[in-house]
Amino acid sequence: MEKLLRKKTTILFFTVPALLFYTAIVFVPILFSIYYSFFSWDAISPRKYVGLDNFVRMFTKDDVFVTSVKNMLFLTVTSIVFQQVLGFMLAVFITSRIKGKEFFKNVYFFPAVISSVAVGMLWTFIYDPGIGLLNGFLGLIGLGSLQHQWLYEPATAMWAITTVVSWQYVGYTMILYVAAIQNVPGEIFESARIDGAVGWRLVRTMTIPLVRPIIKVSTVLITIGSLKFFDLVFVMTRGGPADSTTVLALHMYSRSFSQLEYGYGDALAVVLLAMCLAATMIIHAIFRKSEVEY
Amino acid sequence: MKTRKWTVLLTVAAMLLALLSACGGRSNNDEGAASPPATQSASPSAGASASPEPSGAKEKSKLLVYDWQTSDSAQFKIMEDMIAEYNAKPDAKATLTSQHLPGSDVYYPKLNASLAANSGPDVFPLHGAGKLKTYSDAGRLMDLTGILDAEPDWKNSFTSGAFNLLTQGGKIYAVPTSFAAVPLFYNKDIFAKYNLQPPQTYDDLKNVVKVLKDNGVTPFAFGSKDAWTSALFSEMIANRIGGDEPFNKILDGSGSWTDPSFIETGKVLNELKDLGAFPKGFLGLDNNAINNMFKNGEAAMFVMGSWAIGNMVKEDSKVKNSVGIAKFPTFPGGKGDIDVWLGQPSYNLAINASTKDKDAAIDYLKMFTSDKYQQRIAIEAGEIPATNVQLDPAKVPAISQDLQKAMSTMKGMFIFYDVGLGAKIGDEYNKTIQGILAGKKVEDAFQALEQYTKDNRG
Repeated sequence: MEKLLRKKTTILFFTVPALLFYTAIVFVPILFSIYYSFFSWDAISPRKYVGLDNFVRMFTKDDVFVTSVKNMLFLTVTSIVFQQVLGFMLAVFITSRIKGKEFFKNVYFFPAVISSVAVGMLWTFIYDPGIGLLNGFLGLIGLGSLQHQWLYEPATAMWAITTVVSWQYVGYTMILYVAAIQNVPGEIFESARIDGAVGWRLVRTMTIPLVRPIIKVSTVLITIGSLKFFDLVFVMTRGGPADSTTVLALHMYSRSFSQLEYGYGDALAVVLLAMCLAATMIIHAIFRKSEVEY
Repeated sequence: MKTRKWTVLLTVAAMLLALLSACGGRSNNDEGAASPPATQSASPSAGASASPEPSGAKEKSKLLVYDWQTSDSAQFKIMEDMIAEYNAKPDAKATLTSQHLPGSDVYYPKLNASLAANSGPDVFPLHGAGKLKTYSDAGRLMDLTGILDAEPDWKNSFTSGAFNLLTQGGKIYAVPTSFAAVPLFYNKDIFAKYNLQPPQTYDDLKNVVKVLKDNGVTPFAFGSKDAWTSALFSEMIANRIGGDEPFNKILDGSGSWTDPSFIETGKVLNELKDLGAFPKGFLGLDNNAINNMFKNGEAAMFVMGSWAIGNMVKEDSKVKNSVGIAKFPTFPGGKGDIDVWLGQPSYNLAINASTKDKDAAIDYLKMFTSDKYQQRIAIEAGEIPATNVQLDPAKVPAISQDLQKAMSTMKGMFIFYDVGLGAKIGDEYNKTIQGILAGKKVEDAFQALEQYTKDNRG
């Protein structure tokens, strides 16, 4: 078996079908997308070649593009901070010797399995200025002055959205860490405890270094998830008020499908792709510098 | 080192896949057609799923019909009845299936995507003028001129001028099934309670708003989550201030959005907002929300197309018998006449140029414009019929009759801006108004719109 698996032909036999399939549904469309980004095209009429015009317009004239990139970066940074810190803390909590850890694990993971549309509707109601739980609660405890139209004021809308994103996905990050921590043989922690590492010290000197690979993986996942974020924003605000919560993927969607500028939408997609690639490289570089061997 | 490169590649690959699926999930199971990059690769499969029609002589073809009405509307029910009746006919040429995609924010993206993938519907509703032009220019619509000319009885059943906004380059591309006009709906109970008269001028309006506000009543059912509902309101103001000319000049390419009448319109919107004319949280209210708000008697006035009457006269409506019709007030020094209306043929059926069964599609159009269904559209949905059908005044909702009375002195009509301008610039206008309401500076917003318009004039 071992020998068989090492043979080049066997490897090819197993990988080529998947690779072909993948090429057909992912790489070929991406190439098309790049090609179309040089055209002015409404998808139902013939294409018109315009060179780099779409990109020039994007970088020089499209205010919404600037807003959406800013929002995208905001979402990425806040998601990394919230989800990494909370996800890790929850994982430590769940893997510690407490009762009912299975129960808590399920509770925290639950939002990640709900459809984003349902999550978006749920939170839209919570944030509702009239009947929402949040404003209701604030009024009840005498903090009526803090009530806001959370999703509809440009100042609070992005924070409201990023909170929901983190709420939805923190369980996912947590599960990654739980798996990583449980993978570490119990004796290692045992001997660390014998050596006197308890509490925060155990976490800092043992847990964090041991789950380092997962920090990298989850950072990459969260970053890319945030960069291409679309669904919750679409459901909760549709990019409003006045594009203040638009993200790049949503801008791409509305330009392509509502305003029939497929060529321009493809140009946006190409830029988004480049950004995702760049972000992955950067994260990779950062983690490589600080890689430690055990 | 080598494995690391692979990790990068794999991660990137995973990310790209996720990127594509992220937009795919949005548009009802039609993943291929939904994301621009996948359009090409998807079209063969989409074509394949549509084409294998058994070619047996007696086999009926299948016809797909699109619609944008919500499932609780009278129009929805009428259409479903019509389809059921057609399919039950023993001599029916085809089997009709319907797909409802409520709300134009959902409808047009889906229509465009499916047309792009060449798997579009056989018959679908369109707005007129600029919206229609996009599709007729692209050769996606069947020319109906010859068919209508061959059947003068059918053609002459429509009200005069019915095809004006549905004609491009001398060819008729769609058949109207109803008309819409935008009045100022008001709640008679609330107005009576506070001794108010429907406003004739902007000063009257401000006074009405003030009285209502002082009594804790929301003056307007108004929202801007759906950009078009706020744009519609702004178009009434713009026409009363500047008259027809500024917008007509935009349409013919000689005008500018920085015209003082447009700037003034933005400022009036802000003034009304500051006076408290709009509900709390209006930035987050969509079309459904504001319709229900007025229907439940929670707001005193409502500026909306006549298609909203159907909702107001429903069994569970609290304003069934208390809706009054007024004309949108005039502005001091404004050039617009109070008897100029915002309106258009509102639900127009076009046939896909590549339909599989032309005759059946025409049957559907004829059925929609037959006396039986035109009557139902007028009586149950309260809409203005597209044909000269005889109506029993006892059955037509009083609101619709009041509207027709108010319109009897009509001096002119102008078209919804987004319909006139088409998808690109029209949508951008709607978004501009939405932006102003959310706090963007009026001058900057219109300047940006002017720039966008210049760049996108086709």
